[in-house]
Amino acid sequence: MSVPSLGEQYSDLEKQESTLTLGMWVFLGSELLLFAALFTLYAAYRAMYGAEFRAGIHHNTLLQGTLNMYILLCSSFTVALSVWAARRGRPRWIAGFLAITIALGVAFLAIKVWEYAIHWREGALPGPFYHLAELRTFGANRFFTIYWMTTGVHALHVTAGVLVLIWMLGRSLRGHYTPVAHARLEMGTLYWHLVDVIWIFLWPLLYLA
Amino acid sequence: MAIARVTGIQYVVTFVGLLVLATVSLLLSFAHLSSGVSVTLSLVLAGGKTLLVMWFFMHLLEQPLSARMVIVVSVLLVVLLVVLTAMDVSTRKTFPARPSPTESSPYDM
Repeated sequence: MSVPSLGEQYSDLEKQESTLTLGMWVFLGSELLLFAALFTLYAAYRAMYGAEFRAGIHHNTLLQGTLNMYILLCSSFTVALSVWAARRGRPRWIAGFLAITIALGVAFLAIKVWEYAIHWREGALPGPFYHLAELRTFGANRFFTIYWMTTGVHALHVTAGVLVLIWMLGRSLRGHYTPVAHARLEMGTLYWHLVDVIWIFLWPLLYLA
Repeated sequence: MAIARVTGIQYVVTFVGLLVLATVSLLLSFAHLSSGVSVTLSLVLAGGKTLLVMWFFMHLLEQPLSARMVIVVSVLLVVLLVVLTAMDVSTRKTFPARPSPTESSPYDM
């Protein structure tokens, strides 16, 4: 079992841990602002093409989007439990909860690929590639373009999150996370929760009428 | 210094609360509400879920004011950006009101 080394700028481990966590919150704030730009695009175009957006939402793949919502909520629960396990000094439980979270993240991505395949077949593609026969309006084109942009950027974040979780799974099995020193685990789980929070807002805006 | 800690029971209750709010959102979407009411309710429920995730799962309950202020400021900036842009677009007096007519497209659909 290893303990992280103390940086010389910190007087004790607790200060180092809380500084790492604060730094992570600042990064999450910046990620929120990144997605804010995409949500602003959505808001602007929905204000201009309200009816066409609703038509696009009605046409969207509600089943897959909703499955993904519940999957991410479950994954947030399991990744939070990994930190709970770290506080109790149970490395195998940490690994177990991280493994379940990774499986749920991969399931999310698989369902996303399934969805994109459906949209590809129908012609609900972004920008100039759009050729969905049922909704031939410019507003619907805008809706699906924003859909691809926001869910695509989100899926990239989910992929990065899964890779981070896999890395942390390896470190948990080597005993790196102890009850007094697990800020790095907490940082990774904070990133995963943010991915969930983004989908919590994307789901009603893109799938619920 | 003793700090508040999220307990196991709080994790479980938060998770159940998230599932309930998600299900309520889903059921409301079948209620054929008007667009404005539907979007407002969706965003309120999403905000509620986000508060639960941030306060309990992300341990904001345990964090000092500095970490909480980061999120408060970020959320305020997001809300400002989205609301002002939507208001700008909604109150334009261009003729026609939108850049191009509904039925045609610059992509030769």
